[in-house]
Amino acid sequence: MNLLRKLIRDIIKSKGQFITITLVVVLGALFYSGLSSASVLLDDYTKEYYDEYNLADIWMYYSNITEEDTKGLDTLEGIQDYELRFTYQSRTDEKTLKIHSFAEDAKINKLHLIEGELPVNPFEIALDYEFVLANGISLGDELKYKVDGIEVSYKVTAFIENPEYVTKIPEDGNNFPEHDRYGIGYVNYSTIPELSVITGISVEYDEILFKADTDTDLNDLISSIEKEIGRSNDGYLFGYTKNLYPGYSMLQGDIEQFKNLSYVFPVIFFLVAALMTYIAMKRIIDTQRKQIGIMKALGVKKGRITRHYLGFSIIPCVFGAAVGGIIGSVLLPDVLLDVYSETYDLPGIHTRVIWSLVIPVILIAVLLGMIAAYLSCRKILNERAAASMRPRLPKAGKRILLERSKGLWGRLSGKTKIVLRNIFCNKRRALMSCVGVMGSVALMITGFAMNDSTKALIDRTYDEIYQYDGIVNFSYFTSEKGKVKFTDPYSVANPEGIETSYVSTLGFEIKDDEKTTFGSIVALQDNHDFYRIIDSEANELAVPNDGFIVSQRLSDLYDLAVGDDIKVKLTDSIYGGETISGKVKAISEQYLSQEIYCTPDFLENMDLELKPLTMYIKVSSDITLNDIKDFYDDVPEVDSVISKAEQKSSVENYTKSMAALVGMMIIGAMLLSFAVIYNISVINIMERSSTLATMKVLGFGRKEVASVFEIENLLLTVLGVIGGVPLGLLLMKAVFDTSATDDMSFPYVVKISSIVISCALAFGYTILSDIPVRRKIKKVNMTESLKETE
Amino acid sequence: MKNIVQFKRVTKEFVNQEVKVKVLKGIDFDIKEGEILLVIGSSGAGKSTILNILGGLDTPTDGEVIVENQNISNYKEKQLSEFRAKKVGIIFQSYNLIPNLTALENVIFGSEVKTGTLDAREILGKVGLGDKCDKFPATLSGGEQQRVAIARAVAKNPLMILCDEPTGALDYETSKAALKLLEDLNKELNKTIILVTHNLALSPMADRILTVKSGKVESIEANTTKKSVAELEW
Repeated sequence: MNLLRKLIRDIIKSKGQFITITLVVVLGALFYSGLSSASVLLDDYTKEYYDEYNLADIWMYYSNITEEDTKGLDTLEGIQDYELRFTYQSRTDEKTLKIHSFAEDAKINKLHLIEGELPVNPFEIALDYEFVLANGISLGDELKYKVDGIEVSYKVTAFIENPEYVTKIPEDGNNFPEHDRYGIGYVNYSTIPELSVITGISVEYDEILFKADTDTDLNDLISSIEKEIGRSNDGYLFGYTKNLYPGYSMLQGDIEQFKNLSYVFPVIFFLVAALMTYIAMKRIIDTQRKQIGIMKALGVKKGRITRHYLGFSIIPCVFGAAVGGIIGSVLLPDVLLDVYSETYDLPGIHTRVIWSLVIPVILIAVLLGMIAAYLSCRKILNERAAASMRPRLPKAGKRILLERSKGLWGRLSGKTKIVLRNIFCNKRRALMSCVGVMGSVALMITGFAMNDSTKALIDRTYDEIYQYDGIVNFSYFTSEKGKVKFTDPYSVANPEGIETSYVSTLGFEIKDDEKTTFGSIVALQDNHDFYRIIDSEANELAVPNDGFIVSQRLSDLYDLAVGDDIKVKLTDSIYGGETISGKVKAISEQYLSQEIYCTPDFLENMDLELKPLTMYIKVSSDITLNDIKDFYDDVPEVDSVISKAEQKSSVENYTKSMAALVGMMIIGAMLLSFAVIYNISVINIMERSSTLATMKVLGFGRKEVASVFEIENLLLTVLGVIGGVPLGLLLMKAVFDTSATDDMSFPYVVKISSIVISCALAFGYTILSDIPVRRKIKKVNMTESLKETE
Repeated sequence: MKNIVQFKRVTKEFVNQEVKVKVLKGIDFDIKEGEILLVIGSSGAGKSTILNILGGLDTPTDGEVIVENQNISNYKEKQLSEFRAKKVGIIFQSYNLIPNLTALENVIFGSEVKTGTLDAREILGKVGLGDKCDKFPATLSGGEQQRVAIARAVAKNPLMILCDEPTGALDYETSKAALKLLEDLNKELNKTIILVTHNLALSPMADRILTVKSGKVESIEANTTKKSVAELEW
């Protein structure tokens, strides 16, 4: 009991250090629990959300299909449920609504009702809530939209969300949601017959949703469904599994990214905290040698003394980890969810403390703290009581290397000599201080580099790789009055004044025992003018005629080197799951997707029928992109025209959410650095308090006394910064590698200014930490500190 | 002999946890150039406080301390540290050497604050450590360390050398050697030495003896029967 009181008093006495150690533990716990909570939270939430509203496993599209056609499905293995629906687009000049029919007893992709009542009568519509918010729509409003050029009027009866649209990415190309102009609507199936009367569309259904039995291989299932009502049926268009479904796969990627990041940063924070605990404890225990001796002499058992000193680390660790863990698991996901709500619509998600994450964090923090504390007091505890009651023999000064040069050494002032010997005679402590500074600088550099890299990623992609001015997306097919016509892009007339290049894109899947990656094969005719493929040194690569160029990430993930064979399965249903292979001819640098490049000829030689549904355009000076957009406006085969600038700005928008996360990391790194450097300074001055008093007595001015400590701190910072920069670059690579997903990988880019700022901050903190040093020098009582020999 | 220091009605109060303790209750005395002044008294009498004020380590609550016609009692911190640098050399019971400097470097370091200092190596030779110039304090015995401390105070060539129980941590023989050293320095270099001790047996080596009791000067007397350190026994 008395020892506990002593413990608390001791802690209060060194409160600055304990506060900073606690702060570092708080930060580590905060980031770990925050990021992993975010991933657990999203993971749990999406599982539950998908489960409750029964997200489909497979989507299949037809030009027309009837209930009669689907009879054969009942005998297929692996299908739990299937439902038919009709999907069509309704537009105004600016806005597009993708409208699905739903049955009242729908079991798949059920609607999550936010407000109102689900439509029962024809032309009542349930709208997605983001579209509602972005357009200021109220329940009961009447919306006039055109279907096939004929105006249809809807009455809004409900606001909903649906698990199949956790992110609502417009089909016409931009990869990011634009709620003001693109929304999702659901109408009661009773609308469809009436719609056919108005518009003349004579289609019953055009889409089937499947829910598979658990443990069914979805790709196998899709093939067997195709066999039943697919390839032989003229109306079959294409189908895909949820792994390719944009909302689903993007969100899974982000969840994974949180999970990856949640390890890297906390590990560093915890190690730094352990290091700081070790340094601080060593100092405290050194000053308490005599007390330890007395306790031992009084017969206090070694175990009890050990426990007492372990308490020094347990208290800040438990407290810090609990506070950080709890705050982190609430605050960080809250911020992240807020940011991610730009992209994802997850109704009803809320943060909570996930104890199964917080408690392990506390345990790990305590364990690390205890190890650090134990290591620091082990030696003294093993001394005999009598020995530890005697003041420790002062550490003998030692000669350092520099003294070999008599002339130089002789010319140094006593102050400088003290500083140099302080550093070089306590190499271990100096090294630890340096490591602390190194870690801090490295973390800051990594934080800033993430910011730089995100910017570079966008710039390189849109300025160096994409050379076109815009993209024209053709629709796969057009339907008029229910008659489907597959698009032949070459037959579509183009305006004057543009250069064009047709590109076919084939979805693929590559997998090994552990993982599966989806991407696309881009068949480029002549890449130079429209699309530059670059390698890691930014050299331009020519598209090979006899093989593929694969992305760096694919090459890393699947261990593919130049000369290896790569085998991928085509996922577009028109290829019927065919697997193709070819030689890897080069590795390319790409950041926003996993693409494989080759020439159309190469694919056609494999007897693949190519559908160039994308056209790159370059605009001459006589025509503007708006003119081009106007030109294609009335062309039914053209889905959308997107300028490169629009693409770029929507990605920039998306990376804003990354920026929030990066910002938090930078703040964390800055706090950590301050805590480390402050601690080092405080310990430094405590260890030298008698030197300090002696100097004062000898008549050195306050500034001169302070300069001994300031120079020492500064030198340690210089050494730390020198080591910290390369460490930061290594850490940056590690963090980038772990946080890369299939949708986004980060180039190793860090601006010189980021490095300079990180180093400058480290020096700034050192100078800031000199303030307590100066205060202490002013306060030091010369007469007393000189009498204490301890 | 001229007076170099005058204490005029010097008082000192310490406030410790709201309790005021008056340690000096009006001290008057002066110090003559080149003398050995012994300040004696029992523990808590106030002798160390006198030394601290004299050495510019502390300021009096009231009264004046005139050193070479300058009143140092109301000096600001900066002036005080300059005063310490220029005028005094202090020797403590616990030598207070800088552990990371060699004997010679410690002596030189002590003189860095001032001009007109003496040759460090020569003074170390005088205190008998000519062959230990390059040793670090931790490798020296207590007596040797104290001699380095004395050398440091002397080499700086200050106005006066203040010693606070300089032999407190030393054994009999070593103490005698250290005192002998101070005595020699006083003779050869005509240094003013103020020696604070509770050891009455040292009285015969002094020129004058100031006895302090309960914060007041009990007596100040000239020693008519001065003996050299070698003759002392305790």
